[in-house]
Amino acid sequence: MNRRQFVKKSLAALILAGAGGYVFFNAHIPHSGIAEAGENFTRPLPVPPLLENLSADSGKVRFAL
Amino acid sequence: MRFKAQRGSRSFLPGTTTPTMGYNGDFLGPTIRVKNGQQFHADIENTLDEPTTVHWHGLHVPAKWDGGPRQVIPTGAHWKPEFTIRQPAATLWYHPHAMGLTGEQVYNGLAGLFIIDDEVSERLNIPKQYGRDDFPLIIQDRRFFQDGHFAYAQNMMDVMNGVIGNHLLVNGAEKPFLDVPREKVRFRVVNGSNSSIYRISFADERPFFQIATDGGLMEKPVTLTSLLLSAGERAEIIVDFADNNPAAGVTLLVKQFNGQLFEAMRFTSTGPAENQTDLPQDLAAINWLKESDAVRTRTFVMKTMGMDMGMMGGGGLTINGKHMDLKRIDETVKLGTTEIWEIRNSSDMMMGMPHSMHLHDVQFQILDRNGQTPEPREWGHKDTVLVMPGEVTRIIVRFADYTGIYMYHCHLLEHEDNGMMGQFEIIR
Repeated sequence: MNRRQFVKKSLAALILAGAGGYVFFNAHIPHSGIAEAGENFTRPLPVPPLLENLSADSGKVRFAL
Repeated sequence: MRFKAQRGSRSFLPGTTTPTMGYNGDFLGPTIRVKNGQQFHADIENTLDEPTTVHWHGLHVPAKWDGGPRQVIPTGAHWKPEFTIRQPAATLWYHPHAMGLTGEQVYNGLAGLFIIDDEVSERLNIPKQYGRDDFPLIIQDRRFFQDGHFAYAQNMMDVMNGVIGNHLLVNGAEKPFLDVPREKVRFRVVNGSNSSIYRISFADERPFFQIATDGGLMEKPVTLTSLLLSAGERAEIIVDFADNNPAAGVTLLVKQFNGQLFEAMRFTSTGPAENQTDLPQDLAAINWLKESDAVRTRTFVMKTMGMDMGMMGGGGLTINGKHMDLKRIDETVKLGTTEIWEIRNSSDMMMGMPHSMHLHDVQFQILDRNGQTPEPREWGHKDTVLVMPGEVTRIIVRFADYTGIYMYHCHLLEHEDNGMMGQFEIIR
């Protein structure tokens, strides 16, 4: 087997192994799309709290993040 | 008030609990809002059981405060960046950037918005009351195991394709609703996914107006019926809900590139019709960089898979044939100069993958794609740009104010974590 053949065979084996793993992996994940989604528009959009300038005197913005 | 990177949990799926991470909460973080010219100071505590960093994505900051992989915050330590805001109004964001850990930490919930205002944005007659007519929409997709845990893994396919989810979250909620006033409403849209490219539209195909790109306001609003954002990109849009049907509402659709179509959320309007104001036709002035000012052109070849077959170790994810190495400076640029960076996505064989090139510290402008002028939606300041397989995208960028070492990388986080990243140093 020359180098080119070796590379081709290795590539094919790797892709097959990867595809197999992908199928196996995904088989264990519940899939959802439009049809399968659970609650439809029943919970309000969370809006992250706003942190603004906490130090009004100096123009400095000080956060403890 | 005390804020920190911490572990938590949240129920995303009925009857299950998902271990998460958040900044001062269980998932995502607060929205920081500052004004151009202000001095910014943060005290960040890492209470995680692993190292992290906080990268200010899109901010023009001194290298030591960039929050990239060189600024690790060990477990239990504090990091106290302090810098002056020196850029126009924009919707930016912050997220971890530790070597090899970015994807998983963002997936677990570490991300937040960073809004800059300036005199122009405050003067314009556009919606700007956060939480009333100005909302962040952080869009992310996730996979779950049946026990509720995030199904984050990096098998070979995940490294190549990125971890693509089958549940869509907006600000950390699946299929939420938002009651909006019956008037123009501004959304700061962030593609905060690990590796998805989204096309965002409304189910009734209503047009909307894009007013900002990654790095700030555009010169004029651009009318769109759909918005394309790759991982890490942002846009500000204004949607007119004056005609919103209170009973039906309007549904936001998000289509993944090569993936699913999600009904992401619904906008309802229970209040009375508000007074309508016209959208300004002139937004902000942009100082367009000229090709003739560029001192040189550099080429960056992003490659998903080479014949070296090093995939399992991330060996197939390279920029200019190289993996990320913190000990190596890949490019040296001179402070105060302008350069053209030509980004080539030349993923070979069947592994043609889109890439999303992000540069730290700077905002650039897109010159062309395969020689063609970019679409109007990209006419503005950018820090992240989608480069499709086979595409050659040229950007022009000026390196100003700060010296030091910064990153450039694919913002598909599984690509970044597996080596598709480099370092540039700005020197005097």
